[in-house]
Amino acid sequence: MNLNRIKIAAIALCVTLPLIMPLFQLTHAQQPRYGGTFVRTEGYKITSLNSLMVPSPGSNARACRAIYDNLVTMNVNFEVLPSLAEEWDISDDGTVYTFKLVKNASWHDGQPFTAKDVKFTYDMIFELDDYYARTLISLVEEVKMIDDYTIEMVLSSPDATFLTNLADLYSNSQIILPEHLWNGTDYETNPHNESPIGTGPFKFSEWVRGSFLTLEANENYWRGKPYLDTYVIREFTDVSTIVAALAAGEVDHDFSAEASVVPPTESTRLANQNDDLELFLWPGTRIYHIQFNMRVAPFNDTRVRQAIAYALDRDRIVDIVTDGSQEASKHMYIEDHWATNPDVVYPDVDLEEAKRLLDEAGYPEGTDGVRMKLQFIGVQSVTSECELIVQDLTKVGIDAELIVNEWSWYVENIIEGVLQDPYAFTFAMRGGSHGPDPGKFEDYLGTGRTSGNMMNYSNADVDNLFAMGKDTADPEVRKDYYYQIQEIIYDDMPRLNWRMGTEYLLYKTEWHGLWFLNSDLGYQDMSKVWSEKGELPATPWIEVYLPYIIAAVVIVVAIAGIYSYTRYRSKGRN
Amino acid sequence: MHLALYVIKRLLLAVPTFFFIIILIFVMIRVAPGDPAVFLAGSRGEVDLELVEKIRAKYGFDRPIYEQLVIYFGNIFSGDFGDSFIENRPALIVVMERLPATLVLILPTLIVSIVFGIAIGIYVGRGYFSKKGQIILGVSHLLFSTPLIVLGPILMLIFGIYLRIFPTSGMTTMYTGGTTLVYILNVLYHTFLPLLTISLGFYIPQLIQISAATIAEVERQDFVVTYRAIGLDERRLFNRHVFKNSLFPIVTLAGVWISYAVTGAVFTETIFGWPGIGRLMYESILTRDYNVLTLIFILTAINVEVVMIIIDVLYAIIDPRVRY
Repeated sequence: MNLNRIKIAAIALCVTLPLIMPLFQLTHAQQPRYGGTFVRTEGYKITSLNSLMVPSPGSNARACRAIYDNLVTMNVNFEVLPSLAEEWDISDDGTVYTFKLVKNASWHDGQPFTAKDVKFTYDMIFELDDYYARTLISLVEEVKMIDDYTIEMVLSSPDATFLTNLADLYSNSQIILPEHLWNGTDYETNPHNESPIGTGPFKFSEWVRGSFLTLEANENYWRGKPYLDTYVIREFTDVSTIVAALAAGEVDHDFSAEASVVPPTESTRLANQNDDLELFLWPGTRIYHIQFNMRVAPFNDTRVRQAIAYALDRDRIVDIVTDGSQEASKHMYIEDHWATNPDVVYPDVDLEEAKRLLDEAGYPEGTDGVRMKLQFIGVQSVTSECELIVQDLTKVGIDAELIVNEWSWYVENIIEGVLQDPYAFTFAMRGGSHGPDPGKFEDYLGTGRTSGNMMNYSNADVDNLFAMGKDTADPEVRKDYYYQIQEIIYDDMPRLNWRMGTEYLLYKTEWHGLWFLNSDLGYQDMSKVWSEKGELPATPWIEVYLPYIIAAVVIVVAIAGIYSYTRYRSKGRN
Repeated sequence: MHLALYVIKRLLLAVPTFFFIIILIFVMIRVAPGDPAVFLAGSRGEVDLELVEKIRAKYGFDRPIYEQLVIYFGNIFSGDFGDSFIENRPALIVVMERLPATLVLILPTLIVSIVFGIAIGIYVGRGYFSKKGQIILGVSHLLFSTPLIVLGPILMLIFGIYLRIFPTSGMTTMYTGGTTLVYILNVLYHTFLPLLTISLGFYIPQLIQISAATIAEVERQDFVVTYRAIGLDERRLFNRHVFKNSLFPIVTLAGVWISYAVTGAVFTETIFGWPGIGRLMYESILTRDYNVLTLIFILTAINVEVVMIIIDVLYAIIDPRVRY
């Protein structure tokens, strides 16, 4: 070959190769790899591996998510997804639910999963009448087994929250237990409370109390074998220990749910300082809010409550304590939720308006600039914010003393205390889950709901709207009711939303397939998690080498084409 | 007075002491504000106080103290220390399960501390007023005054996070089993940092101080000066006379340590996530797990009392003047 042709061949190669390179990327990137051990932190003691009977503390619920399945589950956007029930029908009047179950699920001991297990589990829940699992589905009257893979549940009246409750995001009390291992046994002493057999993606391996829980992959999982080999849940008692473990790279994931054990500023700092740690913020359903005691002065006057809303520079304070990662609540309900009324927003900070309202309500500035002296009850997990709140209030002449104690004190002296003594508190910070279904908001606003409604707020219209909202399953109609509720409570202002109790989910960047990054996956579903450091599955050689083959063919064709073209050209000249 | 009589008297005295201690512990724990019901109710209890009340009634937390006390005492005599409310298992099992972990940490710690503490202490004691001696004493004072909850995290930061040569927490990371030898090595690997913390921050400085002072004092006694004057070689002088006479306070101290070592490591166990009794005590306080907490305190009281008896008897054997 002469030099010219070689040059041309080289040029041809340079042109074609860039077009072929993407083929290599396609096959090797983002293909799930097998193997690895995933270690998650758990900030609360695990006390039982049967969350149907012992859902608290939340650590039990979380551990059981990997071992057991429910009929349905919920994704990171609070949408109900099928689980053991692959599809369902709801009767027109909303009282009969017919669930079609998956046919290929089996228990960790090899027995097949059938409707018998579901029927038994719900019979057991009915038997354990006192337990939370029963109260969660209180409207269910009867559970019938239609055939081996069909279950029918009959409710006494329609319940829009029913499917959400079956997913039971936080307590996981609706797990399905194997009939052949539980029927006829003493539920409390059954050994499977400590060595569980479920249908979930991970099998029980070892439980060293106080240290860790080891789960191994269930090869026969009905959704497909998990990529992970082992899933370990490591128990921690102290926040600083968790932070140290994350900083040293000893754990893969920190998911401290329901008021993160690790404070927001720590999580953000860890993510910023460590290249191999990523942070995902999940707003969740907890709302920190201030409740006003409407029984006594000064908060029996709407204007005073509204004055507080104007007086607090909520954006500034939240920005400080969360290091800019979060914003203060703007709306009456969970931010970005389908039931949240986007038009009803809290006013911006306006100290003049606050002072005007306080003057109007009959609390003028004294000679020392103080209008009133109050006590503000704080919550331990947001102490620094409460201190800043108290500071802000001095700007409008309210001298508030901050009192913070632990939760059991709060329950005794504030929540229960105010029922004995209406002066037990004037205003207090409070947390709590408000969802995922808006029906839960009634716990905080309903007449007589003294556990969540410390304010003594009572509005018949609100109560009616909640009742109607629960009765219908049509989301558009429900939305309208909840929108109305929010308009009413904006006018009444019995409480002031502070910020979402956002979960700070830290994870090592090597991990893919995490449930909060993929809305196809259910809550805490670990079955699709894989690591970049894992091994590729054994692929047929044709798949692996195909891009090389295509590249070789293209290059040969290109060279041959150019070669013959040049020969043709030179021949032509002859 | 006869030794045997003394011992019997001492033991008899222990019995009412125990009764009193148990009653005191029981009442103090339950009278403190808060109870397990709130924790047991969990996140649902936040908006459902009826549930909290139900749990309270189920376990009898709202019954008067003396009633609970009588029931508890009755049960103790049949070996039933009640159930852990949180774990729903007998408290005795819960506590005993964690005991090996604490022993695995404390015993090596004590051995290492005693060996190093006494060795350094002897070295300092013999040259008590030298610069080296004073510097070492100064450093040991510094270490002792640093609280364990500061010293622990500092060591964790240096060795666990920056250098990453030791694990920051936990007793073992052998999640999926393996050979026993590897497991033992793994556990020892995990004991390093907590051991270092407790030794440096608590035991070694005290041992240095005491042994140094005692040896320095004994060396100045007349009989030692005399032995030196008549030419007895230093080594024999030291091993036979000085050292043995100095041991007394050290042994007393070490004995007391062993007795409350079991719960003395609360801070270290919590910081380093060590699954021992110290951490169990901390967790039980947080969750108001009365039965477990009571049992731990009782065990500690028994420990301390037994060691005190032994020490008293030892004193009586050694020094006849002590028997009263």
